[in-house]
Amino acid sequence: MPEVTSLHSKNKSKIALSPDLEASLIERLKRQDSNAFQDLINLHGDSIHNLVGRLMAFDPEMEDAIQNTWIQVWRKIATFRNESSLKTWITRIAILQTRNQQRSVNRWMRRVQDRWQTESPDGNAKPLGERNEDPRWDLVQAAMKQLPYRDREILVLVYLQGNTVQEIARTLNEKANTLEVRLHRAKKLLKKMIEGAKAKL
Amino acid sequence: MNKSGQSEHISSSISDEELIQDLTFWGERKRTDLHYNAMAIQRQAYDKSRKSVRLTIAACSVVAATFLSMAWLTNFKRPDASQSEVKQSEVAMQRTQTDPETELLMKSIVQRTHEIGSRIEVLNSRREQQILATYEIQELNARLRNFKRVALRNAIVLNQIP
Repeated sequence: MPEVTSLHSKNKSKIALSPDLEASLIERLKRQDSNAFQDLINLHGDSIHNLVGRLMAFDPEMEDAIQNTWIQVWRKIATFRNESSLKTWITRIAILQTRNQQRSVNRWMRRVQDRWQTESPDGNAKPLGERNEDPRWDLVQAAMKQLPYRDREILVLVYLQGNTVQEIARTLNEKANTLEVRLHRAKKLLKKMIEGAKAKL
Repeated sequence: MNKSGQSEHISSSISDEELIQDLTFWGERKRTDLHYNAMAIQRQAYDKSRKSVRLTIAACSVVAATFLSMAWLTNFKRPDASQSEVKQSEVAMQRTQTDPETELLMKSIVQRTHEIGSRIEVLNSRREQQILATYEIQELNARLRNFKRVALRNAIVLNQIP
């Protein structure tokens, strides 16, 4: 459909569909129209990629979380009830899939780190693949990676994705007060980690 | 108060503004990289057919099957694999074998695995390097298991698409 294929522009992430176009896209998706799925990926692919990347602190496993997100969207689109925008619905799936993926990564990391600490008690050796690129970026990256996942999640959703706590609470069906407390704690912990890292420089 | 209504009184030498600047720098800088990554992924996934989700998922499956094939070739196959898993794996591997590009990728990965194996032997006398190589191969092994899981799931998805 020409009105949707016009989304293939460089600024697609800034384009929002009109209610009529979104309804048309959803209707086509529910008919399992593969062209519609392509249009959906073109429309929201980059933003979901950015979101999941930040939530997982750019861990390579993010690719699996993204893939699982789109598979879930494809499978569950028939259950979409227009109770939120399509983007909000996909974002919720992405966050839940990322949580699952992160749990899987954490389980594996615990196993590896046990062995790592046993064999390298001084902790100086770094796993291959971690390269120093920019000291400031590396410093924040190291702190964000160390943060508990839920703390990182709330910081990313509020400060990088531009959501309010109330919006997040509605999207994830969680209590705003709980999220407020988590945000406060996450900010405090991140400051402490960055301060500690800067002091070592 | 910030946009979420959160109180800003935190005892720290880093202000909220500095923290947000750091966070933004962290998130924004990577966005460019992610943009190119996304383009690369889309090229891999969609070049074969820009209009077909069936082929999109099949493309992902081919990449996953590459790693799956490597898993088999390097004897990472699970001994307790069920017959249906074995069958699905074979189907996934057949897809790989019909795609010259992924076959080439598979060969390079297999070669890399052998290189890592050789490094472990060569560096046996250098303990720290040995640990690093071990860590890398563990990571590779875990990713192989993961890709195998994804390949099997994709095979299921493919079967469900009319």
